[in-house]
Amino acid sequence: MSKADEVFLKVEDLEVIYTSGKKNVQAVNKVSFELKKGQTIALVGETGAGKTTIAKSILRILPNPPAKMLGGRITLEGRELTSLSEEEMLDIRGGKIAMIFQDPMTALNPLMTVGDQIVEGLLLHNDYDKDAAENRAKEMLELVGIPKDRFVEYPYQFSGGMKQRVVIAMALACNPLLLLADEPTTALDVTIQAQVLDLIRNLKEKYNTSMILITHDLGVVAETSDTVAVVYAGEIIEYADKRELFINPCHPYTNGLFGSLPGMTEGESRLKPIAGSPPDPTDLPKGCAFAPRCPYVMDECIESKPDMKEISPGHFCRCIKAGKEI
Amino acid sequence: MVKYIIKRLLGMILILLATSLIIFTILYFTPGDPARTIAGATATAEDVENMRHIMGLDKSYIEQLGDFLYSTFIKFDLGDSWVYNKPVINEMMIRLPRTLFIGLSAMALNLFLGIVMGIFAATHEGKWQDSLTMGFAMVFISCPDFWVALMMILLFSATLNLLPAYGIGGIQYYIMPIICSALGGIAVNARQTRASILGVFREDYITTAKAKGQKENIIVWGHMLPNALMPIITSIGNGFAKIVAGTPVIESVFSIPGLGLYMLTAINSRDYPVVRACVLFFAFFTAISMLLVDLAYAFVDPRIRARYQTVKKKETK
Ligand SMILES: Nc1ncnc2c1ncn2[C@@H]1O[C@H](COP(=O)(O)OP(=O)(O)O)[C@@H](O)[C@H]1O
Ligand SMILES: [Mg+2]
Repeated sequence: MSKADEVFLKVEDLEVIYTSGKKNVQAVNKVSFELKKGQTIALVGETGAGKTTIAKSILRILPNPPAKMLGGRITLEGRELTSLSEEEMLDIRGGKIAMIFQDPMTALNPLMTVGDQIVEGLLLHNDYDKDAAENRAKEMLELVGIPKDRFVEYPYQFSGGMKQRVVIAMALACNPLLLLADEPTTALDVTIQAQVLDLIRNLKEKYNTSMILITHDLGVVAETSDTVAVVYAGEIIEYADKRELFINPCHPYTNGLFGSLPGMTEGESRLKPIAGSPPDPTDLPKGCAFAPRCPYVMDECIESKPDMKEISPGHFCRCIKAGKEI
Repeated sequence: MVKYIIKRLLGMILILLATSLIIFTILYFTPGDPARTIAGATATAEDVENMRHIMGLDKSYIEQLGDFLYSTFIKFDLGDSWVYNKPVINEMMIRLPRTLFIGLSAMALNLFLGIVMGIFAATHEGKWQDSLTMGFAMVFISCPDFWVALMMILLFSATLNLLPAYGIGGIQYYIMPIICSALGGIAVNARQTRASILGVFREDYITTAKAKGQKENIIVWGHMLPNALMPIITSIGNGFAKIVAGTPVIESVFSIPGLGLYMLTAINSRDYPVVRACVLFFAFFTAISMLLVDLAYAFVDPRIRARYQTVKKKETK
């Protein structure tokens, strides 16, 4: 077991493209971040920024074609996932790393009972026989607040919120070391978002699971994460401790997102829309990707891409102005 | 579910009644005189008149129709062949196993090969394996079955002397007919399977299964195929319905005394009781296969199953 402050997951220079026709979508561009045991990193950013792609490349479940990982290294507990064989990856998927998907309505196989879908993963990663796996699956259902006699029911008999609970039960059934939660509440009713999130948080605490949380909701970031990475057009443009980022956001884009957040009141915690739209991912600008929308843009920004700078210990920002007063 | 099946079976009686009415009427108004054909070329006008009386053809349309419906649906009697003077049902029962054997074997073959080829093509989408498999399917579809039959006879019977060219006997008599009947279906099923597998390929629940660490081939056979099965079942159903009516051409080429050939001959000799009985049987078989298709849908998909259940399960929030 790794010590608490040791690096547990390390992503270095991850680069992923999607090829559609003759064009390449530069979905993830030299993304690097680290995660410590038991901690949570939040990935925030607009739709299309590349967050889901980052999560799926860790599990190596990107659809290929069209997706292609051009480069990068992903290391989990010192093991380099990117160089594992497909067979070795089967043990990692669902066993060491599990994922909760964005849309619970489509994430479950409509023709299988929810029970069988949980059992499927359990049988793959444990020495359970069928009965033991079923018992464990029922236990997991109860744990996420679903009566265990609904084990034999099909997804269509559940509401969206309950489906997401099933997905959570499925993801956590094998006690994964790392949980990838891709906007786990976005598709749900506002009324049950908090419940589902609490559930994830509690279970994560209970099993000391590390988590990558993808979200639009700054309230969730504030409550749940330890570090935050802001993703823009496939790049991490700012990366820091949660407190540091909320107090001292540096990148104009982060500023825009977090800007005018009056004390983080409920309902006011959604990301702020920023004027303009993200650049065309098939034709990214040569310089800073945010330059076309940046209120502080200078000639330099358009000519060359700014480097990632460490402006205070553990606080990184990709902006020429970072560290200077704006 | 049982209630549903009973309802469908009752509906089937209506279908058979309607079919009887239509086929009887069509044959009644078909120009030409069956009595003359049956009596033979040398018969005198008196002989023919006699024959008409024996066959009941001198009665009115309504009377004849009534007789036909009464004996078919009340006495369960399909009548005697005009040509052979023997009960139609006996001859059908002798011939049915041959037709069924060819039809079912062909179907098993084209299902198996069709699905395997379709999955193979889909999992290699866009690569040369895909083009090759679908190319084969195209060739199968484009070759008329009688032509393939003749080519096979030429090769395997005339040249290589491996298989008998016609007639019935041991299993070796059925090999070529089965393959010829299967070819078109293989192509149809392969294309259908490929298309529907590709349709579910990018579904989220497939990604979920992958994220669980499930193996590729179990994902394909256990998650993708069941979800892609609906259109495949439909095409199986169509193939199934065609089995009995299906292969007059193949039966003619290989001289197999099956149902298809029976009806074909009966049409030529104006043996109307045989034609009517065969048509009715085909209608019956088609209705049964449609029922089976619907039951298969329900078997595969719990949402459809729920619709058939009389006591509706509560939908919980
Ligand atoms: N299957 C795909 N084929 C082609 N492009 C894709 C595919 N999935 C995602 N993309 C593109 O990759 C970029 C990143 O997408 P994604 O990772 O889903 O972003 P996010 O999760 O942040 O909304 C987007 O520009 C999106 O259009
Ligand atoms: Mg996403």
